[in-house]
Amino acid sequence: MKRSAAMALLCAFAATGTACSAVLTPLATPNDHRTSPIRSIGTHPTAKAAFPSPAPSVDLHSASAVAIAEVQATWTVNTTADAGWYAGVLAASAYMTSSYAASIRRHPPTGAPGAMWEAWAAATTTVSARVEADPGGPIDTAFTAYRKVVATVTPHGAVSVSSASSLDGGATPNGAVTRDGTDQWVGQAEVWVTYLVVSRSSVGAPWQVAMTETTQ
Amino acid sequence: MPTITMTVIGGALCALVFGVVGLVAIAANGASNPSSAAVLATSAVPIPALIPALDVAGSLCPGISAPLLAAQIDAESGWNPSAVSPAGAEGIAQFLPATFTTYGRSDDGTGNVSPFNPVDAVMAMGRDDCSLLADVSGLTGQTPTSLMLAAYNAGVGAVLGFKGIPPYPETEAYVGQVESLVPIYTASLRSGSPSSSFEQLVVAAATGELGVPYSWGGGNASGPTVGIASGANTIGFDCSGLVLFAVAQASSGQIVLPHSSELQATMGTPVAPDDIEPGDVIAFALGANPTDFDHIGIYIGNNEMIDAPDTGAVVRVDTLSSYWQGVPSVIRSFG
Repeated sequence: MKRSAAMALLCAFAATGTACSAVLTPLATPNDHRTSPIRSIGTHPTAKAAFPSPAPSVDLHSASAVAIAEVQATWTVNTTADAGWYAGVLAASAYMTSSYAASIRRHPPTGAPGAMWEAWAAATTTVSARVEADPGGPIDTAFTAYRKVVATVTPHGAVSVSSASSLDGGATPNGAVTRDGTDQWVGQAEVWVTYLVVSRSSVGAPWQVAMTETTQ
Repeated sequence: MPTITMTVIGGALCALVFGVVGLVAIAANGASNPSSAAVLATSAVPIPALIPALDVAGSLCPGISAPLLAAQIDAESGWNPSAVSPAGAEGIAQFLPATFTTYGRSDDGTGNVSPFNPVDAVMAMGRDDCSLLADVSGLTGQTPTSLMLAAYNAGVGAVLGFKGIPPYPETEAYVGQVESLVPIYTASLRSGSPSSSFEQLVVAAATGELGVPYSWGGGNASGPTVGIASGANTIGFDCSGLVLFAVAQASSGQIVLPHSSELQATMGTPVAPDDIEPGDVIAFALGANPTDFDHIGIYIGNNEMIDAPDTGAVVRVDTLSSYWQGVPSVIRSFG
């Protein structure tokens, strides 16, 4: 039977971000390991900044828990207080090996955070993340684990906006922003998939993220 | 990265201000017209007055093109000529002031060099891209375009420091996003005959990758990529990366699925087993949980699928044997 071109449920992430995320576990306390915003490009602390500490709620003896925490921290940002996505990476360094965290800080990105950051002006993000099984990937050893984490990142309007900007909701034809932080604005959620190599120095030692790669 | 819907501000204004002036100035600069480079899909460009600048800038050196620049602008600012980032990046190409000082010229002929002038910004982006391509030319293992895009986003120092695409999610996402947007801005990209159905294009895209190595984390909308861990030195696909690629190619970049077999298995239109057709996507739950679809492939007919099975293997044709038929599965169509 030939089907019509009735395409695309393509997961209606918009608005609630829940259509495809029934199995996802929301972060109970977003960004609970960060006590103050971290500035990113330009004025951010880089190599001189103290390394953040893992959240007490994260089970560091679970490779999956560490992988999820690293991804959640990476994508938990405040587009007003932070200067770019790198702020999340710095926060996520709490879950990285010292060498990986050092390399992250040694070569900070220098570019602009991009159109999505601008579209998410004056927003905070909530991150739902879970480990996805991948039998085709590498096999865990006692000291190295491989995890694939699917994160759904949803922007929520949270603070006042007074300057003109480009928004995916709330911009008037002349560019003036109408969103005032009290309108419960929720932007279109985005999905990122991160592959992580998680390692530990000995059996019983805490797991730490040694390498990541993020894709669409 | 899934598509972002942006509000384009000022497009009509730009058309008025930069149209004729930009054309004249660029022609006077004597740049050659693009020849063999990919052709810009002009209907996809929100600011038509920028089309001449995109064509000229895209021909400044081998390795860049007008569609690539258009995709970059889409990702950088969503075509907003007045965009300003919290870090001070300015204009449609999101130049930091110091960088624009290096590459910006009065390409529109007004004498007023500004990153907020879209023609100046597009031409500066072309020059910057060419310079970055030269800077990363000594690196191997990833495509020059991917490395150049990473350098545009993270800085050439980071790319050289990591000897490849830096592991910053924003940078990796930027590279993937731009590469996935290129087909949208490319005219007549589709392979196959004009009458090819979507499903035939999916099969053709997958068939064209037979023999490409499995690479954990590999594959995006534009082709095979370097993975991680066991795939760190391999340009290839994993199972969901192959499906992502085939569907993106068949849709000319209009459908970019997440790199997740579980999510892919929930998208598109469900198909009953008796209705399966070549070009449909078939996902399997190989683990203990019958609803965790952890493998996925593309049905090609005759009880066969093309998939990227596992580390050490290549993209291949697998018969849907009794083993596969005994595994919980779902079928989806994206056509």
